[in-house]
Amino acid sequence: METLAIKTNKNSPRQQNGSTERRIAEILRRKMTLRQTGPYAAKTAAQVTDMLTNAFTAEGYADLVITDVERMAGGASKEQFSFHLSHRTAPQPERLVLRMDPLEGIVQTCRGREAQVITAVAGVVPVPQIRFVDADGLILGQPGLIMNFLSGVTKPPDVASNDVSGIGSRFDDWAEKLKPQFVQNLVNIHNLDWRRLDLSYFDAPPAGTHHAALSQVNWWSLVWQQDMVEAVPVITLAERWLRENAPICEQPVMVHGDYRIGNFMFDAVTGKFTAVLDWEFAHLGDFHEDLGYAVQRLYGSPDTTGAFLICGLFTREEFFARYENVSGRKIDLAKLRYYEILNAYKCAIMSMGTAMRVAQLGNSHQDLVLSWLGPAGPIFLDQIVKLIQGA
Amino acid sequence: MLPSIDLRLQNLVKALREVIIPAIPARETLARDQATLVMAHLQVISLQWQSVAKYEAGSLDELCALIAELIEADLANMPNDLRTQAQSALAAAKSTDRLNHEAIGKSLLQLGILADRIISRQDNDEPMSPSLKDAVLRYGARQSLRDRSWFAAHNLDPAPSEVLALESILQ
Repeated sequence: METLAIKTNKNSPRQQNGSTERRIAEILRRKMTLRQTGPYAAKTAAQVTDMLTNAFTAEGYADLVITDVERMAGGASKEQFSFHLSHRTAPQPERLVLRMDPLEGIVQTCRGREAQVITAVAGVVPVPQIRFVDADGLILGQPGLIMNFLSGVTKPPDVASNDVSGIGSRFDDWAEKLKPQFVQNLVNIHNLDWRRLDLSYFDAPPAGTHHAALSQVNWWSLVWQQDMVEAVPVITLAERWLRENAPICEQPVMVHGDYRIGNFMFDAVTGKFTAVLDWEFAHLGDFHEDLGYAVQRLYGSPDTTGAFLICGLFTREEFFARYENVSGRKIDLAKLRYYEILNAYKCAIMSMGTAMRVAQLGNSHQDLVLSWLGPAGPIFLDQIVKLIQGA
Repeated sequence: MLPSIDLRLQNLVKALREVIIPAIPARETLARDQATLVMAHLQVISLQWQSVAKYEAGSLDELCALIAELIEADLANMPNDLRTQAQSALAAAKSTDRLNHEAIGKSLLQLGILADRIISRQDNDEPMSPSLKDAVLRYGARQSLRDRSWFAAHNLDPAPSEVLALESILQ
């Protein structure tokens, strides 16, 4: 396989502001080292049981009994297993979830960051309780975290769908129950008083600078340099446009980074949210970034009349009006457009770069899903083109 | 008669659908999901395999047209050495055998690197010229529509009414 090298001039003014967060840079460096050790095979239940035994023994648990290890469906980036645990001081079996990095996935992120942010938002939005973290894979053998099991569904049990990773799901009559919670939980995340919390794995962008936007551009352009299989002119153009048009972030907030359909669970009877999931992209940045992500067309679907619904829930206008009403924030349409482009750029890189590279190398348990998702890339490129043309 | 590729693909899909997938226990979620996706991949491959070289030749033509536009109009204000490289890569790409899938792939790879160098110009901190931006966006609009149409059978596209029939992108 040919590997392409892109020349970058780090002294260029376009590159200087908003350097990549230190932990992200470390994870991406580690990815390139681990890459050489592939290919990767999906873990068996027996292997997972051994890994869990090591983890809980290291935690000092005695008389361990681990049963019912079952792979959980879905996901293109992490391996997830549910299991029951009992031990001397808690003899009643408890159901837990192991969320673990394969060698590579559609994105490489930090389980330590994910555990910190989930802990930080506990009580603010519904999330599982973190029970164990191995940020660098020193005990489990690969990075992972263990949390308690929460029940719920990501799509209505009575609405037909044939989606991958939640893409294209419809909610029909469930939408009215879910819409207010979708907005309220997003506002709660953005209102988090993050300065008072332990977020030592995170670097905050200074308020009133371009760093929030540029650190994201730096993150994803580095991923593209590492993972690109074939050059894509629109991705190159988008990076240049994003650097030249980065907006100022007045007040950094906690950004979920992957706030969309498929990443929340709700009770299949009441419709009440039981969990906001997939915090691996979380970072400190501009609130427009989450709005610009949720409205990506890939995550939407038409209603029965053909009207396009954001995340299968609301029209664009209704979503923004509700967000402004609940948050008290005013959406800046130019910043919103910038972050729509940034998010489309990031998603195009994941689908046309990382997914293809990892599938070629056979470094994931989901190579087949990754090559299935690759064609999502041109959908994001189409959005980039239309949004820059309209800027 | 010997078995054709289409016949074998058809047999594979039938075996998966009628025998293999139903035999996988429901609790083996990864195996079931992946077997279902194997079947879906095979169905898409059966629609595409005969036209791969034609489709990629079309992609190469689009990229050649972009590079030619960038050179001729000097939209990127290229230094001489880059311009010379671009001209020679373009000439090589135009002479690529349009029936040789591997050769087309190599040309696409090489021209793509060149397009990157022209567009990114990391040694140049002047703002991007509007004409350069417009040329790349016009190319991007055409090529992304071709790519979305080529993979329409993945059913990922949120605007399926926009995508084109396969025949129209293979002309």
